[in-house]
Amino acid sequence: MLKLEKYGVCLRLIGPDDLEMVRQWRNSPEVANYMAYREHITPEMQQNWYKGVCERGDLYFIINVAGKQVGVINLKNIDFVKSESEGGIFIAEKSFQNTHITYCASLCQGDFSFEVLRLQRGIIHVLDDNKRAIRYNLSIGYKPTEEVEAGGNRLYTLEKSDYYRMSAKIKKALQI
Amino acid sequence: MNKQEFFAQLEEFMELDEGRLTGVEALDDLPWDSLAVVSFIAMADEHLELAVKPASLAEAKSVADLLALVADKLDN
Repeated sequence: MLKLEKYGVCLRLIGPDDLEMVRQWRNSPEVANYMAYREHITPEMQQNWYKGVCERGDLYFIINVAGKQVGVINLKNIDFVKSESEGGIFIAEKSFQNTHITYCASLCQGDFSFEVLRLQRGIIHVLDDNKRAIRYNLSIGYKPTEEVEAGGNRLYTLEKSDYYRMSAKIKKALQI
Repeated sequence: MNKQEFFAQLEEFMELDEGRLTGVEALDDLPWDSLAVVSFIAMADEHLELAVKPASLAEAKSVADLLALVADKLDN
């Protein structure tokens, strides 16, 4: 099973045994309220979602910190022709929300994306009213585009060079 | 850096109006997020020559707790 360990976090590829935990996290108001899809997710819906993840080859990881499972980070819709993939992250464990761990997980996955998968670009969609996520993603080098999906979900892009420029500052600050 | 300048830095990190912080505020009531945490650590290192551990910040509950982390390095 794929495991990425760097910057004090371990990212472990999600498996069938994680689905119920992730479903409960995803349904919690602290997480769901920041997502474009906010309806309740049933166990059956979760199974169907996981089936799609496996079919597409999306990479969803459980974020582990000192043996504790704290959230999920992902690379989905990996496109080696366009050389890009779409990222996402949520921290479910309250004691790890609004801490440096979000950056540690993002840098661990970012390094994997750009150095191992050798992608050139990352993309994300962020709701225009999710100010916290916008601040966060700008700080790691994402730039907003004019492309907005229904519901105010705006496309942001992250070029490899911007990632390295911004991640260097973060690593220096966190001394990692 | 004195106490008022320290508060001004925190206000900048959290994109708050100038003069908003007095020291009694709970972090849960403020936009204290991951970016603010990293900005705080960088500020302490660059301007106060102080290495603040992320774990110390995770335990902080209020602006007063943040102040306590750097108080010895601030000018009177």
